[in-house]
Formats: sequence, structure tokens, C-alpha cells
Amino acid sequence: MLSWLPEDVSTFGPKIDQLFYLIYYITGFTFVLVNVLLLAFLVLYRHRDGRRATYTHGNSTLEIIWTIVPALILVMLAFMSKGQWDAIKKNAPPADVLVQVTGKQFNWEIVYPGPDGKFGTPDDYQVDNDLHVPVNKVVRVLLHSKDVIHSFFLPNLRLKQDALPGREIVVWFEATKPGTYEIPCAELCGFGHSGMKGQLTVHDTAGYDAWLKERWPATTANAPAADVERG
Amino acid sequence: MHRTSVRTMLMIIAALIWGAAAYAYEGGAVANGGSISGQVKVQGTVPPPKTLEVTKDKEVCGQHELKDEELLVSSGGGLENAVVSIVTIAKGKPFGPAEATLDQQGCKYVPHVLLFPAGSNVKINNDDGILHNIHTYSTKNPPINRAQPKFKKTIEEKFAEPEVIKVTCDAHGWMQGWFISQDNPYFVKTDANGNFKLTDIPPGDYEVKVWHGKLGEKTQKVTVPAGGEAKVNFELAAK
Amino acid sequence: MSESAAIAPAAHAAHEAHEEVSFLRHYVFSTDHKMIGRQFLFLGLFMMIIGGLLALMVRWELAWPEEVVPFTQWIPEPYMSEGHMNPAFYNTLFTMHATIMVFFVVMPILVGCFGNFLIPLMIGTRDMAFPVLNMLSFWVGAVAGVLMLSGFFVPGGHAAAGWTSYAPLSSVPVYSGVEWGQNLWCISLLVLGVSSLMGSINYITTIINMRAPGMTLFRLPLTIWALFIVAILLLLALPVLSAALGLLLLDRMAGTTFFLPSGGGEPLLWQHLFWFFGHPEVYILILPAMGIASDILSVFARKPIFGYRAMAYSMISIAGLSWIVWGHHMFQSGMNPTLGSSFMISTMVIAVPSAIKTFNWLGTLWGGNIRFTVPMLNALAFVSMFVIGGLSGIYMAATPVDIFIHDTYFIVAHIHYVVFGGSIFGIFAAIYYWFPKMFGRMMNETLGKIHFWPTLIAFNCTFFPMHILGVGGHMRRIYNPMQYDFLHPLQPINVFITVSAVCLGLSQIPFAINFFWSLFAGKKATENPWNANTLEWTAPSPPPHGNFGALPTVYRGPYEYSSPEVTEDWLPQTRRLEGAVARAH
Repeated sequence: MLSWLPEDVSTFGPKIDQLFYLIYYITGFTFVLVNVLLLAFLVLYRHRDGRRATYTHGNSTLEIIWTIVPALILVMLAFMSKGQWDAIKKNAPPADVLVQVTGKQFNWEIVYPGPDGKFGTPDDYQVDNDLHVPVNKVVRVLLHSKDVIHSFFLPNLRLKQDALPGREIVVWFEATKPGTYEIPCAELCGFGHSGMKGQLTVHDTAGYDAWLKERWPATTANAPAADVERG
Repeated sequence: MHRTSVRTMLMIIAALIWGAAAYAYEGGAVANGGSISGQVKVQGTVPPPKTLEVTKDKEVCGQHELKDEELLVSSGGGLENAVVSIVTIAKGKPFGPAEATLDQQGCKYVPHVLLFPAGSNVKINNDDGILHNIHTYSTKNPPINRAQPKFKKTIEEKFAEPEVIKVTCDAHGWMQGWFISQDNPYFVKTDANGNFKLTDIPPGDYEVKVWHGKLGEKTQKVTVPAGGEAKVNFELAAK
Repeated sequence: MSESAAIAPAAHAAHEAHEEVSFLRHYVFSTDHKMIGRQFLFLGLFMMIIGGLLALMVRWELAWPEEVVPFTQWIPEPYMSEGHMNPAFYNTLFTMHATIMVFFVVMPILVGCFGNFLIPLMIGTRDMAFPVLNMLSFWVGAVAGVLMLSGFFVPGGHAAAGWTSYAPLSSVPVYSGVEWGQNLWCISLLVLGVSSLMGSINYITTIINMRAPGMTLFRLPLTIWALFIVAILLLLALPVLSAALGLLLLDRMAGTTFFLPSGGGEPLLWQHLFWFFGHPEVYILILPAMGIASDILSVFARKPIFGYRAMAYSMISIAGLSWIVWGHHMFQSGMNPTLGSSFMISTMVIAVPSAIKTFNWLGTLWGGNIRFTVPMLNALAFVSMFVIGGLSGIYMAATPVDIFIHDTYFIVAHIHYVVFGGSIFGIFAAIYYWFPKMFGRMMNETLGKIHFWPTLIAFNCTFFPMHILGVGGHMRRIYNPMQYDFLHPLQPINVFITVSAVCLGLSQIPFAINFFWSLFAGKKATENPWNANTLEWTAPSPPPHGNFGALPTVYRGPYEYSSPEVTEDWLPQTRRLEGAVARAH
């Protein structure tokens, strides 16, 4: 089943996929166990004339075992998950590239701060739906919304974050492989929700330099964001 | 006494409504009609129209290069797609709802500015076979925000009130146009050289207005001679 | 103990003989809990048909987007364009499918019908504590139903912001294009909340105060435990929903900005309020089915329920924990990630009592003498399907995995395994089991099996592949997957699901035929066709007004099947044995 996962090109993807697989094995095992027992009991203990069911009200030892074992497994899963969760959602690493993405009905409005690394200056470049980033660099996205709640979803980057009006939410990712990927909106945002999508282009280093030169011809290319403070 | 004053109030209101109706435009035959013609020009330099970035549905929208049609100026400085109209006129040539059609072709609004008499049904065609989403920002008319999937080749909307309405597509952010719903029949768009002509105008004094989506509005007074032509030129400052 | 035993049985019976009630008082405005229970059942079954058809329309669009949907040409603009579905209407369809199924099918049937019908009978009393309030609770609920359906006929269409109705999409009409439809949605649910609250007050009071002599709390069938706990959950959770709906209506109609940042409001406030109600709500949907399944498994395995006290305590802990997990619906919402971690822990913990219950159900079957009646088949399917739903929840509880699967079809799969696989199979089990008591006739066993097997197979074919769609990244609430290149490879799965869903719909026809045919021509039922122990089976089928001749006295718990004390393999709660004393179990 997990072979249907989209290709993972995210630095934080492998830990997520590992957790996915771990849970898959645990739940798969449990599913098989429960259903094998169920079917076995249905066959073994089906009614036959002259038989009488075993009169018992339960077994305290079993109760304790099947309380503690699931509890331990589940709490262990929680602690295994917390580290990766914090790494993705809480502790964004220093950014190499900064970009602002605003969800609006029904497009992703993208603003690049330009070579000066600051927003609100003349070298800013705004375009709908076209996100260009370099490979192997930390991209920080300042996520906004103009109207309703949208959700910024990058399946191949294992990233999803709701975009809220009235708030800026910091999101980050680092792509490990060049390619083009879709950016669907993953939160119902109106009748244009279906079809609201952008395109992420991850460039290799040379390609990114070329894109920068094309966008900002006057300046020297590949000047990393001077500051990562919000412009 | 109470009842009498209520009745009086109602009668006054009825008279006002009837009177207001009587002040609406009256169309008919025009004797000795004159015309107003001229040119709308831009003062100052204007950059060439930029190419619009197609960032969605490229297979359909990216077929032809799309240029921003908001500010089209000829080599002689003539302004295209400006709308010249008479501001207020009580009587003149016949006026009534007309057919108006907006085409969405190759993810572009054709025409960029659509003019029609108030009360007209506007047909909005989707020739592209993909999802468009027409969204108008109007205050006097009910705003329109409708998805138009490929199977909806035509939708119709009525505009009862005169208004200048910005038209956008919520699916394709670069698409932009204008609907202008008019309150009298004297309106025309300038051609590629900025030239215009309004005809069949009863002789008299009028105020003529030019409107442009980006460069704004200007008015001028003009006297239309019986059976003659009045010349009016406009200059709008470049922005 | 119960004070109502003070009414002398003979005097009460005499009172019944005199009463001649009009058709209206008997069938329409009845204050008899059994008639009210039947009314809720018919309301719920009628709404199930509507909710099911809405789902089929959603599925058709997903499999064949932008093509003609059969039998829909009569639906006018702006919903459908000569059989083609307009995108805004698609949003209305899934919104109303979920709203109707949650609020007007599962709750009326499990809580309204079975709560009403069974509580007085299973605890051994004549009616609810407040019969008139009970009658009102149905009719207020019916009014809520009419209000909800009326939203389909107003300009602007019905609510289209999802059954979760997130603001500001739901709070600012211009964002959705929906006007009165969304308002009616809010008002209808406010009215329904009143109906449920009336019911809760009745259930709690009745269970606490009116149990028959000897019916201690730990001799109550688990069905009653579940309904009791659910009534308390409703009492505490519904006011929060009502408050949220009130704020939403004020934002929509009175210019307030509780949920709008530009006015100083906060969109997340809606989510917190809604899910604070919403999470206990989903346990409200499943707990009665759990109680019912426990009872039915015990009856047809001819064995006591394994771990009765553990079962009762696990339901209580599920209910208690349900108040501190709501944030797991909001992991990706912009809520502080630290809060996310704490909700993850509580969510993992709440899985434990459900695991306990599952193993106890298996323990009930172990060593049994199992009869595969139609109620039993449905109860077994409940166990198996609920387990799948519960296990899929673990993926969502792990916050990093949830980053990927949130708002995908993985969630839709989970929802349907627990609510359809769980609650609806529980409903089928309950209907087949208690139909004889409710209507005095048996349902047809063969037709029941013809209903059960295709339903089980089609159900799994419909909803299991949705896990795969979710793993592939397929988003929820989109009408046209073909708009996304990365979803193209998954589209054959969508087609398969739709075909299975149509089969699932068709599989319900034998049930409808069986139900209605049996109402009039089913084999007449005896008092206790299942040889079951609980009190309702000591009353006639159906019970008269007043339920019992003399009020019963209870001597033991409800699960004394295959007891060594008697030769039969069942031992009713009311049967007095030689030398027995009504001692606590």
C-alpha cells in the first residue's frame, strides 16, 4: 500500500516515511492478529448440537496485558514522532532562500524578495502559482492568506500547512532532487478549490542561477538572501 | 388626521417615483442629429505592453503569447480601448438592451472592454474547454462569481444598473477585463489610433467623458451643432 | 432505587384499559417512549436514503468528472447544468451528505430510536421520566430536519463549506456564494441541539432514578451504559456547538467578526469550538454501537460478555478522554505545534480503551456456541470494520505522518470505517435484533443475509481503496482529480470505488424490502425469539403502553448465558431461582 506514496524529495521526508512504515507494520500485524483470531473463533466455536459455551466472565491478567501492551506501543509511537514534528513545524533551520506565498481564491500568489532579500522593495517579483527554488537549500516560506483558509501542500516534500488570514506562518523545506511538482491547495476554500494548484520547480544549481539571471538581469546572480528577517 | 398625513406621504412618494421614471432617458427619432468625434491621446511615454505570465493550464493558455491589453498606445500616442460617452442626455436616438458577448479565448477576455446598454443580457462564452471562474467586482449590480467548467459553454448575466465593472478570473490571475454598463446610447470605444465618433446626437450642449481602465477619466464640454460635427480631443497623462 | 414502583400494577393496568387515544395522540404526538423511538427510526431511515443518494452523486463526479450524472437532468441551475454538476454544487453535496449522515441518521437512530425504545424496557420501567419532553424532543428534531432540507431550495444554494464549516469560508457569504443555505444549516443544528438536550435530560434522569428493584448499575446491559454515557456527552458537548453556531450566525447576519481577522477575530476559534464539540460527537456516534455489539455478541455466542467491568470502564474512559483530544483535528491548522504534541499523546492514549474493547469482544467469542443470525453477522462485521477504522486512526495521531495524510482520502477512509463500518453496521445489527420487539414481527433471515454479504463486500471495496488514494496524496473535497497530474495514476481507483459505491447502494434494497414487508407480513414474533436475558424480552412483542404487567425484579446481571446454575443456555435477569436472593453481582 505504501508503494503509492509519491516520490520523496525532502530532507525531512525519510523520517516521516519511516514512521509511516512502522505504523503500517504495527497496525498490519494487529489487523491480521485480530481477524485471524476472529475467524478462528467463528469456525472453532460455531454452534454445534450438544455443545455448551464456556461460562466465564473474563480474565484480569489478560485485561492487564492487553491494556499495557497497546498503551506502551502507542505512547512509544508518540515519543518517536515528537522529535520529527518539532523539527518540521517548530524549529525551522536558518533559511537559504526566502519567499512569500499567499493563498487567495483560487491561486497561490508568490512574492520573491529579489536579490536584496527584503520584501516591499522595488526588486520584489510577484507572480501567481510559479515557485522556483534551488535544490539542496533550505527554503523558508512565509505563508499568508488573503481571504479564507487554504492549505499549502507539497506531496513530494511531505509538507502541508494551512494558510490562515490575518497570520503569517513560517514553513520550510529542503528539496534533494530537481524536478517540477504540483502545489495543490488542501483545504476547502470555495467552489474553485478543485483545480487550485501551483507549480514548484526545483532547479539544480546551474538552472537556479540561470533563472535568477533571467528574473533579475541587472544584478549578479545567486546572491543569497542577505538577512532572513522578514522584509 | 393621522390617516390623512400617511395618505399624503404615500401620494408624494408615488409622484416622486413617477417623476423619476419620467426623467429616465427617452429614445426616438433624431432630427438634425450631429456628431462628436475626436481622438484620445496619451501625454508622456508609455512602456510597451508586457507579456502576461501564464502559470496555469499552460496547454491551453500557453498556446499563444498573451499581452497585457490594459494600456495600448499607438505609435502616434493614440489610446486604444478608452471609452468616450456623453455624461447626461435626456433624449436622443433609441436605446434599449442589446446583445453583448464576452469570449474567453486562449485564457484572454475578448473584448478587453465590453460596452453595453444597462439592462442587457451579457453572454459569457468559454471557448477554452477548461475551468474558468468569472468574478466581477460590482457594487451597483449584483457581483458575479461563477465557476464555468468546460461543459458550460455559455453563461448569461444581466446588468440592470449603469456601472464600470472590473472583471477577473479567479482561476487565472492574469485575466482581466472590463464591463461597462451604460445609461444612454452614446458610448463608443476608441480604435487602435485613439479615434472615436459618436453620431445621431440632438443638437445642444453636453458634457463628454473619456474613461480608461488605467489612466482615469476626464470630461469636456461640447456643443453639438445641428447636422454638424463637433471636435473634441482628450489627453490623459501616462502613469 | 426506583420510586416509580410505588404505582400499584393493577391500578396502572386499569388506567390503560380506560384510555382511548386519538390517532394523533397515539401515532403522531405520542408520549410513549416506544412510539417516539419508532418515529426517530423512520426519520433516520428516510434521511439515510437522502444522505446515501448525495454520496452517490459525489462519487459519480469523482469517477467521471464534468460528465453527465445520470438521473439528474431535472435538477435546475445553478446546481446542475442539464446533468452536469457545477463545482459549487459538488461542495454542497459532500457538505450535506456528511451533515445528514452524522446529525440526521446516526444520531436519531442510535440515540433517538434505540435510546428511547430500549432504556425504559431494559432498566425495567414503564416510560421515560419526562414523557411529554420526550415527545417534544422528537418533534423539535423533525422541525430541525425540515429546516435542514429546506436549505436546498433557497437562492444561493445550500451550505457548501463542509460539515465542519470552517470560517471564514462559512462566515463570510461572499467567499462561498451561499446565503440563506448556510444560515439554515446553522439554525437547523441549533434546533437539533435543543432536541438532543431534551433527550439527554430524559435519559440521564430515567437511568439514574427509575431502574427496577435489583437493577444495580453493574447489572445494566452495556447498551444502556453506552446510552447513559452518550447522554452525558451530549449534555456537555452540544452547548459548545450551539455557541459556535450562534457566533457563526452573528458573523453572517449581524456584522460581527468573531472569526474574521480584519475585525479582530480569529478563524481558529471556530475550529477549537467546533472540534471541542466534534470530538466527543464522534464518540457519541460510536459508543451506542459498541454497547449494542457487546450485547448482541453475548446473546449469540451464548456466553457472558468478556470483561464486563472493563467494558464499562473503557467506555467511561473513552468518554472522559474524548474531551482532551480535539486538537488532533487541528495539527496542521496553524495551532501552536507544542499543543499538537500534547494532543498527540492524548490521542494515542484514547486508542487504548478501544483496544481493550476489541480484545474483550474476541474474548466473548472464544469458547462460545455461536449462532450466525443476521444480527450476529452485523455485530461481527462491526467488530472487524471498527478495528480497521481504529487502526487507521493511529496514522493520523502521529503528527509527522498527519502532515502528509491530513485532508486526504486517508481521512475519508478512516471516517467511513468507523462511522459506516462501526455505527451503521451497529445500526443494522440493532434493527435486525430489536425489530421483533419494536414491531411484533420477525424480519426475514434470508433477505437479511442477502443484505448483509453484498453490503460487507461492497463496503470494503468502496472504502478500503480510499486508504490508497490518501497515501497517494489525493486531496479531499475536490471534484475533479484529473486537474492534477500527480493524481492521474490514481484515477482508476476512483472509478473502482464509485462502481463499488453504487453496488453498496443497491445492496440496501433487500434491507428496505425486508423492513417494509416484515412490518406488515413478517412472521409474528414471540416474546423472546432470541432466548435473551435482558428485561425487554420479558415484555410482549411489541410491549403495550406501560411495558410490563407487574414491574420486574432483577436478580442478576444481563450476561448469564450458559450458566452452570441452569440447564438452559440462558438465564433471564428476572428469573428467580430456588433459594436465590437479589444480591448484587
